[in-house]
Amino acid sequence: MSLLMRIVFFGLAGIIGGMLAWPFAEVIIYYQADFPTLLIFNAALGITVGLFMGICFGMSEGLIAVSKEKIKAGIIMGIITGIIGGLAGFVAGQAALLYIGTTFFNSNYSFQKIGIPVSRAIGWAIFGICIGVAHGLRNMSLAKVRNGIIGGFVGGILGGLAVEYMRIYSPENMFARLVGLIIMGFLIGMFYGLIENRLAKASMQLLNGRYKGKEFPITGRVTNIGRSGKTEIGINGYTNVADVHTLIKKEGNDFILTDAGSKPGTFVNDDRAERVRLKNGDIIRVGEAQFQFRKK
Amino acid sequence: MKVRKSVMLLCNICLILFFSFSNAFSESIRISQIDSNSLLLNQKIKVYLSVTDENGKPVKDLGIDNFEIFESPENHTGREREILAFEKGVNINRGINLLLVLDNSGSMYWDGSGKIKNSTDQEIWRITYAKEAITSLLKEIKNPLDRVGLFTFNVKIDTETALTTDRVKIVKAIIEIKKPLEEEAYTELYETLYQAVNYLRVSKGRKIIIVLSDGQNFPLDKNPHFPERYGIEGAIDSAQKEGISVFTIGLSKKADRKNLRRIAEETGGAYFSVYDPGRLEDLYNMIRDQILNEYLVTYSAGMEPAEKKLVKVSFRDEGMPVETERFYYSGTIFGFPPERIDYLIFLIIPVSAGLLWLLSMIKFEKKKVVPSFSVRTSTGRKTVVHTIPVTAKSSAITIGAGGSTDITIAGDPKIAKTEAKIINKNGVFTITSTASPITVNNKPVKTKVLRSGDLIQLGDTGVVFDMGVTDQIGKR
Repeated sequence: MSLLMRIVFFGLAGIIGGMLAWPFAEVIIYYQADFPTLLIFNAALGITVGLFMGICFGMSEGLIAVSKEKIKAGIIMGIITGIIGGLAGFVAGQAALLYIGTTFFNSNYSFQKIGIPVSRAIGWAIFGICIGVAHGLRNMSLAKVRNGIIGGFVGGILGGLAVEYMRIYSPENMFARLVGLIIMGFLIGMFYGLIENRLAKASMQLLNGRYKGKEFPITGRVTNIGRSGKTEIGINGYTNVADVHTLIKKEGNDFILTDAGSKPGTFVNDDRAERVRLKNGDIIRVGEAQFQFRKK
Repeated sequence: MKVRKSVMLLCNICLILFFSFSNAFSESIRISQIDSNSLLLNQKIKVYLSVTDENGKPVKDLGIDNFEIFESPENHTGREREILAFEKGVNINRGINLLLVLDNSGSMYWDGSGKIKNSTDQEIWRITYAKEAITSLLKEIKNPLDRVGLFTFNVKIDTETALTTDRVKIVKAIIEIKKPLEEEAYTELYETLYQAVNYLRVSKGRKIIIVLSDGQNFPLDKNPHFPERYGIEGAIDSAQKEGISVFTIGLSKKADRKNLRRIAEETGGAYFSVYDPGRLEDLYNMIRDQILNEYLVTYSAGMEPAEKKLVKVSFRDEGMPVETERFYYSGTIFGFPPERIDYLIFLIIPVSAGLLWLLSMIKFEKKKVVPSFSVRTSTGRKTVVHTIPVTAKSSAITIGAGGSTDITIAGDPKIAKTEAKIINKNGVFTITSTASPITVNNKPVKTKVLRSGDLIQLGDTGVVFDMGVTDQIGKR
């Protein structure tokens, strides 16, 4: 899977998150009048939407890595961060909406017409930002948090405006919120993938075997390669690969490959390697898996 | 003469009757502010109420039992809400917004009685009285936080001086008032008042309008300056909804006292005559007194979904109950609920679960792949991959730029006709270069047993050899 495909994949995961959240959100909204307070109502909505989006985003990386451990860990982290992000986002978004909405509401009559949809879109955006931040926080990466903010903001604004204008042009349309959630989910996912792509100063592409063509971005300070699902580059389905076989450390602009003491060893350009500074285009052999290293 | 006198008398009696009748029930109530800031936090709405008698004086010492609060979405019947707290004499020391709305129609340049219409003696002009009244009012405004604005109007809103704490600006604006042209000499009092209310919506804090007019509303038919007309009802209604008290000052003996008084009474202001300077001096103190004697009622808000909620306060003392209404904004992020909930929407869950499953399938896992060569040609940023499978029969594969080779890389002058030959012996592939050494895995070699994933570099083109995948390899 190329890096571009990863972006699309994350986006699709966001769409599915939005789709899953939608019917639950509709039911909660339908019973708004039965909630005791606005806070509880918003908390319920935020938790619900955040939960499903968190699950889908959390799962997506594990799915790409084809690692059950990563899927599991991703779902658990996704649930936690999704609930927190959704809760914080929805309550903050509602607070902003009430504040901005009241300001617009108390403005000239002509200003009200534009102001109210815009303030609701801002509410969506704040919700989106929090979901995006939670998504980035899962990775403990500042840049991912930043892109979560961008993705969440753009996705939230566009999603919110889509909902508002669909309501104006087809008030009977029951799918307005679904469209909004899908747009938001897609953009959060996409921007997350984008930053991952941009942040990666290097990548490894598999040249053979089951996952031939799959490209792994090298984003962190240390990237582990091995059979274990917990490694950043998990290569299941290749013989002679140790659980943690090789690691690549980022030192400034250089990438240093170090063999993790595996029996079969690691080879760079057919030479057995203990510690090698990698060059663009190097061929790395980990067990039976062969990668090409690419530097940007 | 006699007939006229008796008609006058009758009129006066009627007037006295009218006023005594209306005075009996003329306490009025306004919501001067709705504070929804803590709605999200604790579901509470604070309502600031101003209750005044027919003279615009605050009604003090009212209790919780005098008030009832109802709340509803727009166009719904209100439901009574529980009053959680009641406070008296709320002091809001934020400064008052006073908007002066001054009539600048042609008749403002007549004398007080309306008999002298073309005098150049400014001393007798009505506008001169108005200016004097405003100047003395400005002197009374001692709180530096108070803001004053000035609108003048005739056929249109003539000049607008924005709300400011700078009194000099207002004084200057008053000096600069010009006599209107003949064709502008209409008096669009009600429409101006409506616009003045709309203008004040933006300002925070307590808002007061002071109208100074010499006569009646005298509208121009199809006035392009006011394409939409609201009339006296519209003007009063909007002022009530915004909690704005309108004080009116009649500038001539011919002033439309009835309607100026009506505007004042229904909005909780008071009517003054410019010929009663003693009372007029008291105007500012009266306004302050009103504001300092507001009541603060806190109630718990309902949860009905609505973009704006209507708060209705019903006040009852001794006479008939009086009511006032005002909206507050209560929109939610996801907006209105669906009319009905169709549980078929839950069908989207299996659909998205299916999609998720599909997504997990596209991981590019290849269960079974025959041995192949992938030619990767890079043109710019794009890489085109062309895969050539190795059939079992072919025992020798040639690679190069020539047309007769099995793997042909065209368009690269650096590549020789035949660069290398690959021999397949029982599944072991050995590459041998035909002339100069060939680069495999970034290393020049003459001959090499190819491993799966080896990269044969020919000029700018890379050829990746893949042994393929059989079911045995990679069993977990």
